Amino acid sequence: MIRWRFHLWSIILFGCFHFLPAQEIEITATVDRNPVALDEQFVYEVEVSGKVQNLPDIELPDFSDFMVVGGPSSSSSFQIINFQVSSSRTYTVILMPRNVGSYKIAPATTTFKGQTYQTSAVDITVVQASAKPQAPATAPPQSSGTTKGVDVSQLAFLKVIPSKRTVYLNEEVTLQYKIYFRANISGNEVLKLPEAVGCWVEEYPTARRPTVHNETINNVRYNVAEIKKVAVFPSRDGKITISPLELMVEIAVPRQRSRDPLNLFDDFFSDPFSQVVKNKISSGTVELTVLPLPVVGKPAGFSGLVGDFTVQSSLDRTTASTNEAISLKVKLAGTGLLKMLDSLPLDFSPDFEVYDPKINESINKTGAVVTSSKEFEYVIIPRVPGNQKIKGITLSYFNPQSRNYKTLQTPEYSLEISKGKEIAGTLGSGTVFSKEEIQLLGKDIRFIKEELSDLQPLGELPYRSIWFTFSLVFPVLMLSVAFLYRNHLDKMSTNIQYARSRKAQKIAQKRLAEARSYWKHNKPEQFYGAIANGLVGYLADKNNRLAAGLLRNEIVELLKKSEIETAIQTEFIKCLEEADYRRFAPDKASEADLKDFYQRAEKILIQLEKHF
Amino acid sequence: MKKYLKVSNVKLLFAFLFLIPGLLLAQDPEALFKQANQAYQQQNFEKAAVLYQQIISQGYESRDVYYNLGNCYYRLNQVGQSVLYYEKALKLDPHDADVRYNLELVNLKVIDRIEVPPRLFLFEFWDELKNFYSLAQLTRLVVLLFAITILLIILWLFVKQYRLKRWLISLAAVLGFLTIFWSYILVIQIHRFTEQRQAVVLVSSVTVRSAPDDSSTDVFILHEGVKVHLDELRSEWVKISLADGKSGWLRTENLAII
Repeated sequence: MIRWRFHLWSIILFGCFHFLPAQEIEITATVDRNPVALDEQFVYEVEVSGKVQNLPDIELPDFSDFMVVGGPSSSSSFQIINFQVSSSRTYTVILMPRNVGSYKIAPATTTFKGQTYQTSAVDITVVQASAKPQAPATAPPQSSGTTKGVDVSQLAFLKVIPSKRTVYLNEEVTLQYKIYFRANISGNEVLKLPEAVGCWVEEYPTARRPTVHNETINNVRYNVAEIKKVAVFPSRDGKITISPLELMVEIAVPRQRSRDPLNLFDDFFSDPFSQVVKNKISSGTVELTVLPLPVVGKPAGFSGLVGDFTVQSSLDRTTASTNEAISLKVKLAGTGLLKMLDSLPLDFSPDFEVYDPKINESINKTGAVVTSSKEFEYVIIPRVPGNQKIKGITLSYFNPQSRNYKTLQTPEYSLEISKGKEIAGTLGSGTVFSKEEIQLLGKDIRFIKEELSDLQPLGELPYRSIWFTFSLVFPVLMLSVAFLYRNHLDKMSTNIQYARSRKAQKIAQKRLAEARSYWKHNKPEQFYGAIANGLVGYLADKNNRLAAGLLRNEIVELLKKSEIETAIQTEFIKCLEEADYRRFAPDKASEADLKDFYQRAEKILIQLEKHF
Repeated sequence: MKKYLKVSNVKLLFAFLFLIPGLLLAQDPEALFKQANQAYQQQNFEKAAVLYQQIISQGYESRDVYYNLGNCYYRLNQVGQSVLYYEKALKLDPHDADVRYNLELVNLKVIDRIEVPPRLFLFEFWDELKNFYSLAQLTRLVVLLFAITILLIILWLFVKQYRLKRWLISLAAVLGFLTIFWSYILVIQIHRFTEQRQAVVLVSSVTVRSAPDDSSTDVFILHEGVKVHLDELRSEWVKISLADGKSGWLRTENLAII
């Protein structure tokens, strides 16, 4: 949306006219309306004015085609502004038509200093009483009842005057909004501001009190004031419609003499000269035809600028040392808008550090058309010494007057960069520091480490060392051992067969130890019994059988089942038999016999243990 | 006889002259370190730097030596070398406050500021976590966690009290998870240390090019002390990238690998 600004303005007029000095005196004739209805009165005015003190008398024309209702009367005014005298005299005749048709009121003449001046002839069209004349504004008067016979829309209306109707994209169109009025108007209220969708709008400043001049339309003299002036820059091609400006004005309508005696009373109490009527007036829409910019001859990298521009560039120095700032200014100026130009097509070498340009833009709207200027100021910091170049800028624009593209060029600059201060110099200039970093800026580094605490062979990778592998493998080994042991413990407590089998050796050892003690105490019977128990018990434990109930043939069977070498089997049986025999034999066995037998039994147990 | 002696004296002198540097070279790193520290304190930073370098050339590395070297080069105003050795020290021990502080200070002297685009908090946290321990520390941590986990499981096997058993197995589960987690990070870091290497620019300014060729177009300029990632190594050229995503080719002699 484009913003319209509207300066509040007011026009107060009571016989205060500004005259344009032309010759010494000037004479004009006007009527207050045209055409006129048959039953209407109208005012014929002749005004003579000039920068003289004494104005001559006027010779009024012949009014034979009309009835003279009143007058002629005259009024005069006299002004001294800046020691400049100006005066005017107005002759007023109130006329009423006699018949329908076209009439001509002959010119009024006057003679001043031997010279004859005359007004133009006034053409009057008289229509039937009922017909209302055509009005530029269509809004009906709000209180038509009290303004019988007076056409309000003819007393004040708005007009918009575009400077051209066919334009190029981004070319300026100036729109002048003028109010035409013949009666005193006041209290205008803006109902609707014009809208121009698809346009950039710049508003010209308007005077708080617009100057009023005269303009004659259809021989009717109007006071004209420019109330608004805008520059419109279409930003798309095709048809663009600008909506009207609408105002509500209060018009002081001159009262007609009432012909109804009963209305006398009303007249008495109301304003004896005029009556205020509110009326809506509208400027009417403006249609613009926007042409696209021609394709033919459009330069590559066209900036989109339309108007007439010049460019200036300047460099503040051509020799500098590294890290010193250089300023490059590029200024564009001319008629037309520069708003859309955000940046310049500058291509800096990477040896420069360039900051975003500072942009100064100004728009001048005091002239007839909008002129603007834009200055780009680049700060360039060379980082590398040597001969450096800043390339020129090529910028093209479209000139709607000559209807072709034009190209602007700035010169190329050569720079001589000498080596400046080292790093310390670059600290502040090039880099942007964060808050935390700024706090560190003045600080010094911390002191060296005085103890060598962590010397290690260069490039040693800890994960490749042997201890790393070991420390991974060792716990795994430990865990497996623990698992196996746990398993054994579980079996011992829950599996009787397993437990007996595992305990068999121990028990057998115990029995042998028992036997040994019997042997030492020379108790051969107990000795043989212990050995026999040990052997049979071991076999029973290993096979989860009851030792007490084992018969000889069952023992043989168990031995066979265990698939031990037959030699051991027979030795086992032999030992058992011998033990049984010796236990109950009357002759005492010698100590050597006992020892021998003990060793035999031990050997068998070792063999068995190896097997199981 | 006399003449002979003289010759032998000269020989001895020569032998002595040649031996001194040899002796110095063969010196104990601890002693070298002490000497270097002395030189540093006497403001003889160049000598100190030479001595510290000797320790390294003997085939050792140490956070302390790297850190002290960084300080020497800082004093000698060699920004690139200073950054290089602080970074090396940081690689061995990412937590040392002194190294971090001095690195931050020397980075202020680096002309190029690489703007790292802001990242999600979670990613930053993940990076922080990954770099929380050095490789050696990570290895030790993983081994320790693993051992404790195994120990807890073994204890769990033999403890009979039901409540204690439950406690032990929960603790073992937690530690087991941590072990897996840190092992994962260890693997990532090993990969990073061996595959994705970083380097520091050592020359005052160097133009990064779009291709490994001196006539190719300039992409941007880097200055001394900037840390870059190495993407691709060739015999004379190396492809680098910056934290902000820019990349290009440089001659290898402009860089030193951290």
